Amino acid sequence: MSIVNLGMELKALADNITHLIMSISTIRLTIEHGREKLPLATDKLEKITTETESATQQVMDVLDSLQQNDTAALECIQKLDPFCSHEPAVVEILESLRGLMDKNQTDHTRILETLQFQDLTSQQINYVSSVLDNVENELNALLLAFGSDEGNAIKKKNKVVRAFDSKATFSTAGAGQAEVDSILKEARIPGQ
Amino acid sequence: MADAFDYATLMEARRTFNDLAEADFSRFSEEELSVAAERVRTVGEFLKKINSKLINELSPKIQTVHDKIVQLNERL
Repeated sequence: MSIVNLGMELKALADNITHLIMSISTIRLTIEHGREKLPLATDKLEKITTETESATQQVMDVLDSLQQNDTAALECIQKLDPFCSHEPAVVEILESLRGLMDKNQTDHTRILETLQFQDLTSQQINYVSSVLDNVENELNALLLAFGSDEGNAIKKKNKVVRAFDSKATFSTAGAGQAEVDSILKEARIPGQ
Repeated sequence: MADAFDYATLMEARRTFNDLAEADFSRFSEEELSVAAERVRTVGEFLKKINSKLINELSPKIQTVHDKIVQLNERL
């Protein structure tokens, strides 16, 4: 009876090892699958940053052109002044145009300031990417712990060093700008 | 890596225990066999506990991380 029991216990032990191997294999596959997908997410985030940067640059180029047009239009209005000074109605129209051009200039400057969202967004995306990099490193460490050589191979890949301010937000940036404006205002010498 | 789960060692252990299960134990006393069976059972229980921890605790967490990664990829 005991002979049979020892044989059965040994068989059961072998079965336990089989279950252990299956569990490790399942876990390892899940980790590998997740780890494979992570760089895709990072790549997509980098693509978003690149495309936003490119689009923002294009908008800024157009704004530059518009600002040059504003200046040129104001110069044209100024050149008309001597010819129309005796016509009050025309002077009034020119003043209106000048007012509109001034408003355009202010609005264009505001749009340029607002476009800093791109830099803030890219910093936030870089922060998320760095978190994903950390998750990937942890998954690689887990893979190594589960006896996979792949984790080691991927760990050796060169990783991009990301620069970012994790707290960069548009609202705080606005507050920062207000603070700078206030300091400059205080420091400004009267008459300058 | 010393602290890694070593597949080759596990496979080898499984093979050894399977072979051992077929061995002739007739030359051992009842008492010796009983002690050996008890020890083997203890090791088996220990492996069961490790397996249970893997399945019930580690695996769901890793699955959650995996699902979040998949979700993130889908949303991007």
